[in-house]
Amino acid sequence: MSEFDARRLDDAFATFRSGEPLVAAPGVSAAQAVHRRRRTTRIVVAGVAAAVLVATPVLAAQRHADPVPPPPATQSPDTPPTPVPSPSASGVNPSASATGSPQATGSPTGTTAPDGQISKQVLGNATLRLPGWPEGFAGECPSGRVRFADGKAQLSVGSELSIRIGDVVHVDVDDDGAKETAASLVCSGVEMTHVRVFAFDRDGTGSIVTMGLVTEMKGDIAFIGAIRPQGRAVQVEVLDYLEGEGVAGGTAQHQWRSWSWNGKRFTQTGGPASFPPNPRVTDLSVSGGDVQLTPADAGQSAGTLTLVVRNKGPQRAEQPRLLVRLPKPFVVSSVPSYCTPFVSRAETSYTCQLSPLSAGAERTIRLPVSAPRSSAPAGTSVEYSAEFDWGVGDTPGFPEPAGTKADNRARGNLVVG
Amino acid sequence: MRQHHPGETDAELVPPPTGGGGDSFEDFYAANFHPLTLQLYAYTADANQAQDAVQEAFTRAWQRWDRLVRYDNPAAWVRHVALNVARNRWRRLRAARAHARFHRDEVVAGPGPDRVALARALAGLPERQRRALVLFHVADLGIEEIAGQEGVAAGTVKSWLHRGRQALAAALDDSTMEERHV
Repeated sequence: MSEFDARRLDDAFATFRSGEPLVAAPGVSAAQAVHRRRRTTRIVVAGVAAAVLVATPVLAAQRHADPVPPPPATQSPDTPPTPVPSPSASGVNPSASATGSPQATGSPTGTTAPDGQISKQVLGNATLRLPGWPEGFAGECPSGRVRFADGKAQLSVGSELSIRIGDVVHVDVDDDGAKETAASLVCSGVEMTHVRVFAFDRDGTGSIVTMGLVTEMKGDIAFIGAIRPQGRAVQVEVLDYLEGEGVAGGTAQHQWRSWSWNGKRFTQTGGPASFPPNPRVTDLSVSGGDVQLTPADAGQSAGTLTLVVRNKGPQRAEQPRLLVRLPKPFVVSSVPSYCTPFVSRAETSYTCQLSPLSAGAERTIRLPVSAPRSSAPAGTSVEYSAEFDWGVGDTPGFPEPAGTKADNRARGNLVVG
Repeated sequence: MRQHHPGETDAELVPPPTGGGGDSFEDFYAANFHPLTLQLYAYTADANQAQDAVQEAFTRAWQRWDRLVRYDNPAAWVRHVALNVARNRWRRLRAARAHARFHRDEVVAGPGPDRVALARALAGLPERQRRALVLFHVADLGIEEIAGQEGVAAGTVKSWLHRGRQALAAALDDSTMEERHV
């Protein structure tokens, strides 16, 4: 490259860097609003499912109105006017339907119940009727007649969220001698996830019909893992916390709960009705007051930072962690072996890994604090902070009972006398 | 003391601390938003995309500010995340959806012709050369710093910069010629 070219490039970059701002900054509050919206969405999804509760009985009732198996001339409002020439229809396994099941002869009409065993591949390329999704997801996750392709369905190409078919199992939930299909449908994007488990069957024309909602993320179910058949029930792995995005891995408790078809809808028939208190979720707190530093030797001021950490219960905190942040030039003059210092531009912080703290117990931590009088003369007053939670190193801490986080941080002043 | 948050991909591992930063998030934002947007504009040649990527990175920074503030250079973390957002179509779309309603296009006129010309010329370069040029000439990072951040040898960065500068000079020549013939 010629010297001329080199100079020209440097000039071009210098011009690029100088001058007016490129765009108007949306501001901190805009970033915080987006963060809040995402966090709120993640938190409320577990609790808000009103739309589904309303929609599900309707679907169940519609399906229940159909005789099983429906007479060929009858079509439920859910079925298209003509037989579906889609993979859902072509996906019927001819040999399986022909063979049927011995119990099928026991059905009231004496005809064979439709084979409701639908493979994941067929389900993922079918049109499924789905009730509306909960608030926060309703605008992005398709409902009504939803066409799936390659296991996915999306409102439009640019949609943030999409539904994918998760686990698929086959269970004879209605005791008609032919198995139906239970499948988890996951509507998710980068940070948002809602999982629902549905049961699907076929009608007399071979079309896929939605029996109803087995269960979903709501109430104390913060996440749904796997599903599996258990007799005539659908067994679902449920978790009490959705890990990731600030919730430490290893927080969640896992349970298997079962849901069965009662002729109208799915009700829970097995497994625990609720989660026991989470053994990692306890209410920790820290308090501390101002620290008076007085002249000591060698041009230093010194004092003692006294912090009281408490475990207000209900669980024993196995790995309590105290994070103390002192603005420069204040330091802990004799760092305890269980604390790790970290020096950054404006402060020195100490991550202290404490020994287990039983529910109801409290402990006093005393840290010797000093600062050179040359840079922190008499009259200096700066704020320290201390945070107390259960975690290891720099990993996110375990969550606490709702509404108890406010006392996890203490602030006070370091005052040089 | 680096952390890898759940939910982040490997591409978002926190880079080593490298420089200065501020302790209040507001100060930090005010000091870094414009330089970072300019760097991302040089990388994407799209002012809105640059703004959304940077705003997205600040949103994530706010989420973990308690920890980030302890790094010597939180701005390096924000730049790293913003570049990752800009590089991935899915993340770009998501950032655009989240932040588009906060655009304030009426306040500034947008990039001037000199900035547009350079950004367009950069846009035609291979990604790694473009990234190296942006980090070196716009973000003002040193070669060792870029090498550390990109996980390559310093010689590799020098080679990207050398080839990138040659290609960029040629691209700028072409755009000048085009302007003359319009």
